[in-house]
Amino acid sequence: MFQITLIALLGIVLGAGSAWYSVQQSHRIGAINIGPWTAFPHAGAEEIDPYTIARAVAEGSVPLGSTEGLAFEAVTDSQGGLLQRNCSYRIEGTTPPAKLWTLVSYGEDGKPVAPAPGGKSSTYSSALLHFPDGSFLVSVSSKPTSGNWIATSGEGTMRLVLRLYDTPITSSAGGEPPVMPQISAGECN
Amino acid sequence: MWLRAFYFFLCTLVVAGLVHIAIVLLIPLYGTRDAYARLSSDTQMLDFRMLPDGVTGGPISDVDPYFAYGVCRFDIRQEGVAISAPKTDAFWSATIVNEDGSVVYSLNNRTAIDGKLDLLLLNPVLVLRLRELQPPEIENAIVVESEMKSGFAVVRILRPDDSWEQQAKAFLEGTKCKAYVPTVPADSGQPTVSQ
Repeated sequence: MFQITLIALLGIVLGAGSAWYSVQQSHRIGAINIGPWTAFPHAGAEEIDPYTIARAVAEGSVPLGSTEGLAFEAVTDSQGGLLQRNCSYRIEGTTPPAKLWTLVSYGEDGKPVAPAPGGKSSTYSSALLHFPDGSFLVSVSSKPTSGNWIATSGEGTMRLVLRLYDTPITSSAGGEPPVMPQISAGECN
Repeated sequence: MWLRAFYFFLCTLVVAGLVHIAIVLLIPLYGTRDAYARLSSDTQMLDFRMLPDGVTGGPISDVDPYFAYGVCRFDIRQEGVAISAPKTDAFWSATIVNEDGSVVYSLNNRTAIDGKLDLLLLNPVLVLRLRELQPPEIENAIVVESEMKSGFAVVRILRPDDSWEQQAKAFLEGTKCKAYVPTVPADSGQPTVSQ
């Protein structure tokens, strides 16, 4: 009798624990990781797995549909350090092809970071200055910088979300992995 | 002794596995924080609403500040729903989401017919009826068949700065969700065949 109770208890604890863990970690299932960027191309498709559904329900989030686009999220720089609001970063390179994209910094509260005076805490493809070869450099900093500037303020960690709208990469599975920009850390205040 | 311990271990593993599977599959059934549940408390059925700016904890978490959003909630068990919007030049996209928060169908202004949002979402029974009756509205509408019960549509339009506000507002205010049941238009008799 004691053994049956122990089996039931242990089973429930292990089962519940592993379920919670897998749902939290479901971004590792079917995710594509490119450097610091992570996207869930199947979250917006019909062949969605039960873990991703459970996570969407638990978080109350609605993913971009696969015809709408794909969101890439970064919580660290390319070296693996957590993104901090009081540090500056250089986002360099190119994005996968898309009709348009937006790059937004979010704070821990899930809201866009309050911009430093004179700037915006986000940018989008049409507002961007490009190098002649089509690549770009976006500076993320609380101090004004020339060129493309994402103005951050405050302290704590942040996330960068790059949303590609109307992009062919959601429909073309396999093939070349898409190229995403590098995020390199600079000075911290 | 070893056999007993192994048996104990095996039983625990089986119970743990069952609990694990049950929890993962039950979250969508009992989740109350999901987008549809939140929306249910804020909006009426078939009432397309523009979402206020920069709202968090709303039906859509992680709102892109470059877009203006609108949502409407529907139930297609009895009647279908027709979602239409005025024509616009700005980039827009729309997603049909079921009550679990998973995407059923999505489109953008490039994949839509004529760049205009005109979508009929029907259950399989109504799709059969639509095929039979061939009403004129299917000429320009995208017909989506789904076995979902209830869900909602999210329509978003690019609005990078205030100068786009007017256009985005006009688009979202003109977006309509209506109940739809395929019927034969009253004035159409049999098409006349000319020799």
